[in-house]
Amino acid sequence: MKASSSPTASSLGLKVVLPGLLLFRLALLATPLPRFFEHDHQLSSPLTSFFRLQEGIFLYKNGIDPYAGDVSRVSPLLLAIFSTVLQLPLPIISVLWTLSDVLGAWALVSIWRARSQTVGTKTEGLVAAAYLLNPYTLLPSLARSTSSLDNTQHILCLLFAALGKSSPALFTLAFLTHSSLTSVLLVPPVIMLLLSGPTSSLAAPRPAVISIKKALYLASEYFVYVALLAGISTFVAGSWGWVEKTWGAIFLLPDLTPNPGLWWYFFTEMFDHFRPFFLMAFSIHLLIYVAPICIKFQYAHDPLYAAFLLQGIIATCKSYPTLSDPGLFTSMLTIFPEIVPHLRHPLPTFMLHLHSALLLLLFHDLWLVQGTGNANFFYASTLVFGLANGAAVVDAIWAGLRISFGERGKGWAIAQL
Amino acid sequence: MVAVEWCFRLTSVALLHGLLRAASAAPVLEEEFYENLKLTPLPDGRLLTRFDFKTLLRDAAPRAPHTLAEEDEPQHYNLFPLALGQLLREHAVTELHLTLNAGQWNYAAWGQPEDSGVATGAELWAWMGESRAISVKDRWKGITNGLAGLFCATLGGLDVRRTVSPSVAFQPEGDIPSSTPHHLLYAPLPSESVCTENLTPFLKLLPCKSRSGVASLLNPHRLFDADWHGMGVHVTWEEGLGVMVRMNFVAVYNPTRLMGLQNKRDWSFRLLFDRSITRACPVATRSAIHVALPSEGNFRLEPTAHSNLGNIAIFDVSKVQEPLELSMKWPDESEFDHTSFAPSLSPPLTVRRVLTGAGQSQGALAVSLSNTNTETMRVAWVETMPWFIKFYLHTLEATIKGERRNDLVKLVTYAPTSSSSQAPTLLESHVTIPGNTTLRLTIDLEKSFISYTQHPPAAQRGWDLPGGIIAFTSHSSHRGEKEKELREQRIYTPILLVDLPTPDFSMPYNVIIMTSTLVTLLFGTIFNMLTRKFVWIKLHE
Amino acid sequence: MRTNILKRALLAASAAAALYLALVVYEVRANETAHAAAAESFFGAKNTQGHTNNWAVLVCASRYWFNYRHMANALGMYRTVKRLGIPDSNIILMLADDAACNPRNKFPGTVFSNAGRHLDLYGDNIEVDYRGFEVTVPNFIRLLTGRVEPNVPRSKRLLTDDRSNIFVYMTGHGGNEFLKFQDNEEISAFDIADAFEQMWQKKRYNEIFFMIDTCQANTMYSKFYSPNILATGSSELGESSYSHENDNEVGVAIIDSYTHYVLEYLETVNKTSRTTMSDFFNHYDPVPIKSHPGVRADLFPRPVHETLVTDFFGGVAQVELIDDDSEPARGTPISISIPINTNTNTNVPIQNEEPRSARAEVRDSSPASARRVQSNVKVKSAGVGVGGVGSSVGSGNARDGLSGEMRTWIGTFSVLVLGAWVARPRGGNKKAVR
Repeated sequence: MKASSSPTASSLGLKVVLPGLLLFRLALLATPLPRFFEHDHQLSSPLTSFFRLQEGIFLYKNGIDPYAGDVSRVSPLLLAIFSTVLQLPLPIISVLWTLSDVLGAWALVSIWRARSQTVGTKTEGLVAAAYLLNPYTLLPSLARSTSSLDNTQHILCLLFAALGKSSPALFTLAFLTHSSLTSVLLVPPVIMLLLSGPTSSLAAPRPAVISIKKALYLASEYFVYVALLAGISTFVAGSWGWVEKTWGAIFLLPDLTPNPGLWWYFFTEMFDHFRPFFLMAFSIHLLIYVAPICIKFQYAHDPLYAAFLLQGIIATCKSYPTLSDPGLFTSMLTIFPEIVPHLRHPLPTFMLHLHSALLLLLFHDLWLVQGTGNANFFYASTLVFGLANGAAVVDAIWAGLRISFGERGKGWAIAQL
Repeated sequence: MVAVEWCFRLTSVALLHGLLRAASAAPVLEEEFYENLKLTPLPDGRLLTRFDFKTLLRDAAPRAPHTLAEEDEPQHYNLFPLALGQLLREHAVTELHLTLNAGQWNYAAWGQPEDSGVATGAELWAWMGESRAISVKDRWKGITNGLAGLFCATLGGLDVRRTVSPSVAFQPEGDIPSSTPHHLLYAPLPSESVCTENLTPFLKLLPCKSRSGVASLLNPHRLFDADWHGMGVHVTWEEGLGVMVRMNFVAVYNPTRLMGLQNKRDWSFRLLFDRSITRACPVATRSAIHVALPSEGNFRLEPTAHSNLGNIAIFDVSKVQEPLELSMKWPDESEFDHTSFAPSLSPPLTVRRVLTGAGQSQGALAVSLSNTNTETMRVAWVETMPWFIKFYLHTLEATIKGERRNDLVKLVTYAPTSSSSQAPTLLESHVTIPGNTTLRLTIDLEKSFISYTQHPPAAQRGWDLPGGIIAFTSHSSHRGEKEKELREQRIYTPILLVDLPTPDFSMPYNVIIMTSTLVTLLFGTIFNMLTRKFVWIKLHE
Repeated sequence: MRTNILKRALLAASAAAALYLALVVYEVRANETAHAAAAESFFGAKNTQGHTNNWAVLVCASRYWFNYRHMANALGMYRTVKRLGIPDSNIILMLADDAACNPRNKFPGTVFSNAGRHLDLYGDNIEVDYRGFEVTVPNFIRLLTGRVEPNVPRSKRLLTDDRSNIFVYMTGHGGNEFLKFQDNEEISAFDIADAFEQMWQKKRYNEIFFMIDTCQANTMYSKFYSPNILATGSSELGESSYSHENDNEVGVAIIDSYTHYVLEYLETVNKTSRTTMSDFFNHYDPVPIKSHPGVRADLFPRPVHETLVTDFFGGVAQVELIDDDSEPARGTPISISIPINTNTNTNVPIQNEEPRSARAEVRDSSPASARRVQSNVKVKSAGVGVGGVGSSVGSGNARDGLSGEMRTWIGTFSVLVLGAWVARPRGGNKKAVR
């Protein structure tokens, strides 16, 4: 695709939109909104809450092991960074979050540029706005949830992979793995992306030519980074206790605080007998999507799309999700405009999202603050939210597969056997 | 008749004593039993009655923990409570304090109690020496279950989820042998109730049971009607003296209520206990009733006291010939004026503790300490919270009239809880309160979401949180026989009720099937899509 | 030559060893059969004589103040069995809530079972073994089967043997083959039947009399399959059991009608009565009870009209005198009925040790100088000010030498260095990856 750079198009492009959005976000910080959202369970989970991070830092600085108790579940790397380099007053921290979001938006735009081989199109503004104005990513950032930082790292990793820079991509992924273990699912698409490239061949699928040796080499590089960072974490924390409290929490679900995910109420109501089995089942469930999606979209020669789909599945089935996870998924949709015409039910999906997002906030308040609702209300809204996310993923898969078949004109329809 | 019986008892006891001495080579120790009833009219019209039963086993020592691997030597007790003694030796406990109380002690109106342990519900703390044979934790489990069986209380619940080891409070009241390092274990159980089934074994541990002496006044129907009632068992060892078991029952009566419509603060044994003392306990070395005479007011105490010590009238129960029934009347008062009560016993330190915050997920604990003295006070503040309450230590703040004074709080211990161990959180600090000020401490907390199986049967009621403890040393001379210059006093705040968010208890199956349905829907659809073949279909016109 | 001798010696030795082993095994086997025979003869001579001790398990499974009547039911039974001679040490009383000292009770320390409050069931001398949250289905089943944790005290164990008659009484809210515990969980008829079967297998009872007062109570005993159980319930399938009367001062219903009439009948029984169980069952009158009580006697070996009421409700024991000679009595033992005197408050102490032989050694007495143990107390003092993230650093982390702050700085630094190394510009490598 050639760069279509009419003067009006580029002036409405990134150079205007991005600073404008930045200013808007900074203005939002001045409102009382951040304090309102600080403790909201949709926006920050026990693993990503900044309040808990502060508690962890305080305990650490006072000689109490932050991983002895339950409150602080943050990775020791973040603990180290936020107690040293980023030990700043709270308003500056909020600005930091906004800047991280802007970085993520810019990175998303760069991915678009790499994928579409164009610069300065109107879509860039749309991409940036989709990320910065999406309420699913905006609100957690106001709440200073570290999931926003995770999102930025995620996008940066994909950017580096799209640009072919293997070491930065794998290092960013390794760092991301330490603050959010579920991201380890992204290793195969990222490696495939490094070996293939970000350009889309969705419309013309063919098997990818991937050297197994190189893939293994990249995977081992990734694991070396993870191990190094784990070593640094152990050094910072003074013992291996952090593994059980941070990574272990994802598998063992010790904290049953409500969140928009499907796990918490399931395991609240579970008898102790069956808990280990279902914990294992849910964890493996998340793992089994990686291979099929990567294989299928390896043929479509679009590992970036595979990463996009996997993010959608992670958002739905993660153990401690926040609104940031589906936020990243929905924002990433803008870098695949070619599939939009092939979406089968975009409007119901959108309505489901709208419906559940509003109900989530409402029922959470009714249950825990007003005391007039009960847990079932909020649980039902998480089910609808799961359905909304699932519908979005399913539609995206269909569209991604459908696009390769093109059109044959009237009288012909495509179906699956 | 009474004299004959008394003679018979004494000779039988002496005979038994002699026989035992002859039969066993192990020395039979001397035992002394003292009983005392103290009645103190309080300024707000109430009456504090305190039953004290002390049994002293002379020259005895607690079992040395290193001997736990071997069999214990036989113990011979006549007056010393056998069941309790066996339990203590089985687990090599050096010092033990168990209290079972109901009600909230009103420090402002009733002053500092003689025994600091006025926590609502059950409270057990013990000092035990280390042993390689059986660990302190295992022995704690043994002693809590043993006491649970002995006193018909649910003390088996004082397990790892309620036990902590404070370091700034609960100093031993007796002596601790220096040959072995000793550890303190403390567990409160605020939701425990006290009733006749706890009094029954209590009475059975006394030498004279409830048949004679001061203990014959212990009528459960009246005792458990008192505004505040509690029983305590305290075992201490004093070097040079021996092992002492102090069992006491304290009840704060409200005669104005018991009198029905009359609203007078006159009291009598008939009103309070519905019983009288008919005969003395023959094995008691000293058995007396002390009545603290009010400093003002025109009152009449009947019958006349046998002796006086300052403003305390003393009745010697062992001299009693006919049934002893005390009564105190204020003949000039037609009615007790509740408004006339001025807190003259106002303590130097007043503590108030509340849970703040709306909503079921977050909250805060606020403790106000008011120092009414002019000098600065330094106290220890101990909080034990069950595992479902998580403190945010970085939010701990001390303010005086809104001004931040974090320098006045010094953290000593913070042992956070974790969901794997479910041990309680222990927060201890030294707090300095300047004279004539009120210091307010606040700390944010989070109310956990616990799983279905962890909720108690009456989940919507909420959970009882044990009271906070403020410990300070003060000059006190209340100790029965021995005077102690510095004695640890403790103030307990009222227990709090916390509402935890509950899941729907009727829903486990429904939740599992609904979530599983959604997940299966997702799984099935995605895999369908990824594995099935696409074909073009020609539509019929 | 030498090897030959060696071989022969080895052979001889092994033959001798084999012979010896065979003898040993034979001895052991003989011993075992002898022991087995002795045990068999002792336990086998069972059905000839009756019980030698009585136990009662009385369970009130409901909590909350408005279920006062269930607690009164259980306490009425408690008082009756105590009156008829079963001592406290043989009674396990389980009350799921506290009615007597409940703040809503206008008459503290008392539980009444009749309007007008003539008789206080709580009394002055009561021992409640399981109370409050301890009354749960697992605890009940563990109590029955004897599979309790090692720390459970003696007063909370059912220390029955194969000559014990047990009276099990349960009351609460129930339904078709279930009984509710604490308004929270249920025990089913199958659970109780299986528990009784375990007790039978472990020889933990001679005969059981099971009585239950709930709605649809008769369904609860329909699943029993162990021998020697006599059962009765207050109402049929589909029927509710009703309360008998309210007391206006207490404010709630105070007794259930079935239990009320049972207790009323048992008041006419005393320790020496020869009233039989069939008399007891015959007095059931569905009209005042307002439901149809049922009886199940098919598992019971003796005819009901030959079974005394005091066989279950009383502490009347059969005593078997055994000859002093070592053989267990095989002839007709003499049986004597001895009513157990309940006036002696037998409080079984926690540890029932056998009297030990007196030892000659001097007791290990007073240790060396004792002193107040302030220094023994391990104070973990960090001496830290409170508030704000920038407070001073304490000690006590696993790594020696390096303080926390140093470690966080080193950690951050290393991460940054790693990142920088990773991000270093590499010439010519870009293309090689793809």
